Amino acid sequence: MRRYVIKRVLFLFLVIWTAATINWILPRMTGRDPIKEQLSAQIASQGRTAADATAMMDMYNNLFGLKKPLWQQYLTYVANVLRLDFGYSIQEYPRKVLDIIIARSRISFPVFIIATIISFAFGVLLGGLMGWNKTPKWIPRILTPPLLVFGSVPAFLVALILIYFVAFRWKLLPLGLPYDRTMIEDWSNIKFLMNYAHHAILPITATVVVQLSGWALSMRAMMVTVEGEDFTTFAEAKGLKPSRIFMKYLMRNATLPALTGLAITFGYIITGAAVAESFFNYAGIGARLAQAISVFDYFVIYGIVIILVMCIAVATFIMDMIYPLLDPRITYKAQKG
Amino acid sequence: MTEITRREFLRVSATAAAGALLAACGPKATAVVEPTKPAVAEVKPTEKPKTHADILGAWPYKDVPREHTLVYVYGISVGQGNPQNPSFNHQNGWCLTTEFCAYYAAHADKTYMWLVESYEMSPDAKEWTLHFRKGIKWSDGEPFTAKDIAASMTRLKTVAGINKGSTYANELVSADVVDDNTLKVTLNVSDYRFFFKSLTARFDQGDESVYVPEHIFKDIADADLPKYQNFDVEKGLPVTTSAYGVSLSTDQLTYFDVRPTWWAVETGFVAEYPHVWRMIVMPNTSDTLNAEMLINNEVDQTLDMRPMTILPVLVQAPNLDTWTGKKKPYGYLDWWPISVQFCTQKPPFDNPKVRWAVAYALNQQQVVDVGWGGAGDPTNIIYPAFPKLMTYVDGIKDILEKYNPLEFNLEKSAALMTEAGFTKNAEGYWADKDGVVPDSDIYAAVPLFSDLAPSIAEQLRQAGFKCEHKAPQDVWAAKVDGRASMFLFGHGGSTIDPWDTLNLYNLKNSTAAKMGEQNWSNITRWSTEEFQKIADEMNQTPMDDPKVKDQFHRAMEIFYENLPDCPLCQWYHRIPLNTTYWDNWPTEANPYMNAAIWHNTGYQVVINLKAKKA
Repeated sequence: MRRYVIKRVLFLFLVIWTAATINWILPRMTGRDPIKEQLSAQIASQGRTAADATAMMDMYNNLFGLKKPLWQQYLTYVANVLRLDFGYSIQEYPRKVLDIIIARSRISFPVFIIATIISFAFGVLLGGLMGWNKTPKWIPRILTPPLLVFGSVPAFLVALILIYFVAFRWKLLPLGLPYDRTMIEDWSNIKFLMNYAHHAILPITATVVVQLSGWALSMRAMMVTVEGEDFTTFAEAKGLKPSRIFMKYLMRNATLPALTGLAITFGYIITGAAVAESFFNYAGIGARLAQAISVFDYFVIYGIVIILVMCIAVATFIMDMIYPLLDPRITYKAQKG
Repeated sequence: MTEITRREFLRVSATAAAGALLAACGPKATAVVEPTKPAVAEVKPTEKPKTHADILGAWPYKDVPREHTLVYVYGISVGQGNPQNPSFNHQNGWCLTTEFCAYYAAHADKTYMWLVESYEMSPDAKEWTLHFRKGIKWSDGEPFTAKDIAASMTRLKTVAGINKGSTYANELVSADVVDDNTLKVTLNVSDYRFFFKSLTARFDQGDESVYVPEHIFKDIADADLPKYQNFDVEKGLPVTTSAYGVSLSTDQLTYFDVRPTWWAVETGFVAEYPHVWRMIVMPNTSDTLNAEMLINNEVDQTLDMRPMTILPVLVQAPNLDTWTGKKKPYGYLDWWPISVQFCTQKPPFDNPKVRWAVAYALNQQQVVDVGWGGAGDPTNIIYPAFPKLMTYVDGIKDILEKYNPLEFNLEKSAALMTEAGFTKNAEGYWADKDGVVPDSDIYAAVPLFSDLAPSIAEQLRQAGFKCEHKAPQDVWAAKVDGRASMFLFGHGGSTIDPWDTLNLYNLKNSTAAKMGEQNWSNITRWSTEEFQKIADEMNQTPMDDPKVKDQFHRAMEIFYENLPDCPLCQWYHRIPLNTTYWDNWPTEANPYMNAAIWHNTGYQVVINLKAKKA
C-alpha cells in the first residue's frame, strides 16, 4: 500500500511537471509574440502612439525576461511554478498572476462548485430512480424526454432564456453580476454573502439544468448494468428490503464511475465557467482565461492552466486513494499467490 | 338650503374618517406655544445649499444614491492609477483621474482651456510658454505648480518605454519653471502642433503621462516606474487634480467618487460640483446583457453597439437615446475612418494598379448597407468628416473627381489587373504570369469589423480576387508585421489639421522594418520622398496657415495616385445613452464633446451631466 501511494504521489508530480512543460512550450510554438500583440492591440484600441511602441516593446521584453535564452526562461518558469509564483500579467502589469487567480476564483468558484454538487447529487439520485426496476414506470417516461432535451441544449442557450424571462422580463432575480454593484466584496459580511447567494440563483440554475441531465442519464445506464449483477440477484434472493437493495447495493456500485467523473468535472470548472460567467457578467476565472488567450497573456495562461492541471491531478489522486473505501473489490494490498 | 345627497354624505364621512385615522397614527401632538411673531418680516438666514460632501460624509463614501450614480459598462483595470505605466488604460474609467491642459471637441470645433489658461509659442515653435490657472490643487491639498509638469516631462524624456513618452524623448530640450504658474518648454525642433498634439485631450489622444504629482512621484525610482501602481484608497492615491478619486477597484467594479473639494469649484472656474457623485464601471461581457441592463435602467452607458443591435434596443426603450436620437446612424462620427489597407511591400499590392483594381472592385455603399443596415456613410477620404477637417477636404474636390475610390467599376478593375500582368485562371481568380494566385485575404478583427469584412471579401471574390475574411487572434499583430496583405483598419490621425494623418505614412517608417518585423508607425509601409517632403513642410507650418491647404492638396494628389489604402467608410460610435437619470448627454444638437466616456474627453462628459431625479 505504501509503495503504491509513493508511486502515485510521484506520478502526480510527473503529471504536473509534464503538463507544466507542455503549457510552457505550446504558446511558444505558435510563433506569436505576446508583447507585440499587446502593443498592437493598445495602438489599435487605446490610442497609443505608434512612435512609443518600439521603446515600450524593449521595456516589456526586459520586464518579462523574454529576451533571455529559452532554457533560462524555462528554468525560471519551473522554479516559479514550484513556488506557485506565475509572475506578472502582461496585460495588467504589475499585477501578479496569483493575485488575479485568487481574486477571480473567489468570484466564480463558489457558484460553480455548488452548481456541480447540486447537479451531481440530484442527477445521480434521479438517474438511480429512473434506472431502478422498482420505480413506477411513469417516472422515467415523464423525466427522460426533458432530460434528453436539456442534455443536448448548450449551456449558453439555457442561460440566455433564463436571463431573458426571469431577470429581464419578470425581474424576479438580478440581471447579471455576482453581487449588487453597490456592495463591496467582503466575504466576512453576512449581508454580502446573502446578496451573493441571491445573485447566484440564476447561474446555478442554468448550470444545474444542463449538467443534471448528463449525470442522470449516465446513472440510469449504470443502474441497469448493476441490476443485472449476481450480487443484486443474491440480495433479492435473501429477501432484503428494496430500499436497502437500492441504496446499499445498486446506488453504491452504480455511483462509482460517476464519482470519478465528478472529480474530473471539478477540474473543468474553470473552463466550463467561462461561458456562464460571460452571460452573467461575472469577472471570474474562466472569463479571465478566455481574455488571456485572446490577448496572448502568456503568464496568466500559464498560471490558470497549471492550477487547472493541479486540480484535475489532485482530484483524481484523491479519488484513487479513496476508491478502496467505496468499493471493497478494489484493494492496493499486495496479493499473495 | 341645499340638500346633501347620500353620496356626498358618504364622501365627506370617509374623508373625515381617513383624516381621523391619520391623525391617530401620527406623532402625538404636544402643546406648542407659538412664539410672538416679530413686527417686521423675519429675515431667514441664507441657508447654504447642501453639497455632496454634506450628504455623503467623509470620503470614501459608503452609499451614493442611484440618481447621483452613473453606471458605465466598458472594462476593468484593477488598481492601475499610474498614467506613466504601460498598462494604464484611460478607457476603463481612469480618464476621470486626469485633467488635461485643454480639451478639444471636434464636432463643435471648440477648445476648452483647462489647467492651462493660455499659452504662447515662439515664431519658430521651438519655445512654448504655458500659463497655468492659479489656485489649482492636487487632491491631497498640495498646490499644483509648473514644477509638476516640468518634472513629468523631464522624466518622460529620460526614461525609455514610458507610456506616451516619445514626443518628450524625441523633442524636449528642457522644461523650465518660470514661476509656479508658468512653464517654458524648449524643443529641439519646430513643432507647431506641440500643444494640441501632446497637451490637448481629444478622443483617445493627449499625453496623460505628464499630469502626475511630483511630490508623490519623486520618491519612485525610474526603474520602478513600470511597477508603480499609484493606487491606495487609504492613502488617497492616485493623487490628482481631477474632481474624482478612486474609492474601490476590484475585478468586478471600480468606483470613481467625486472628491469632497475640487480646485475648479473653489476658484470659481467651474460653477458647481459635478452631479455625478459616483461613476461605477463594470466589465463588458455581451451586447445582449448590455441591452437588457440599459432597458431596465441598470446602466447608463455601455460600449458602443453594432448597428443591428442598437436598433431593436432603441425601439424597445423610450429611455435610451443616442447622439442622433433614434435616427440613423444612431451615433456620432468617430476620429477613425476605415480603409481597406494594403501592405505595399508585398506583391502584388506593391503595384498601385492592383490597389486601384481592388478599389474599383469595392462597392462601399453596399458594404455599409449590408453590414450596417445603411446606418453609416461610405467615404472617399482618409479623414474623419469633422467640420474643421472638411475645410481642407473641400479644397481637394478636383482630386476626388479625378481619382474616385467610391467608383464601383468591375471593368476598370479587370482592365487594371490585366495591365498589371494578371489573367483569370479556370476558377475565375486572378493569377500572375506563373499561374500563382496572390494572397488576397483580408484581415479584420472581430467583432469590431465582423459586419463589414465578409461583404468586402465577397465583393473581391466576385471581382476575381481570391479573398477570405481572416480574423486570427493575433490579427492586430498580423497587420504590423506584414503577414496581412490586406486589412481593415482605421486612421488614428487627424482631428483638427491634416498633418497627423499624413504622418501615418512617414517615409522614415515605411521601410524601417523588414517584412515579418513589426512596423508600428506606418502599417501600409508606403511613402514617397515627395509625399514626405510635403508632410515635413506642413509640419513646419502653423496649423491655421493658409499654406496648409495647398500642401494638403499636393499631398493628396500623390496619395490618391498611389492609393496605399482605399477609403471605405466613416466610423461611428453608436453609444446608447440612458436618459432616465441623466440629462445633458452630448448630442448632435449639443455637441459640447463626443459622448464616449472611455475617451480622454470622457471626463468632460461626466462633469457636465445633469442629474434628472436629484
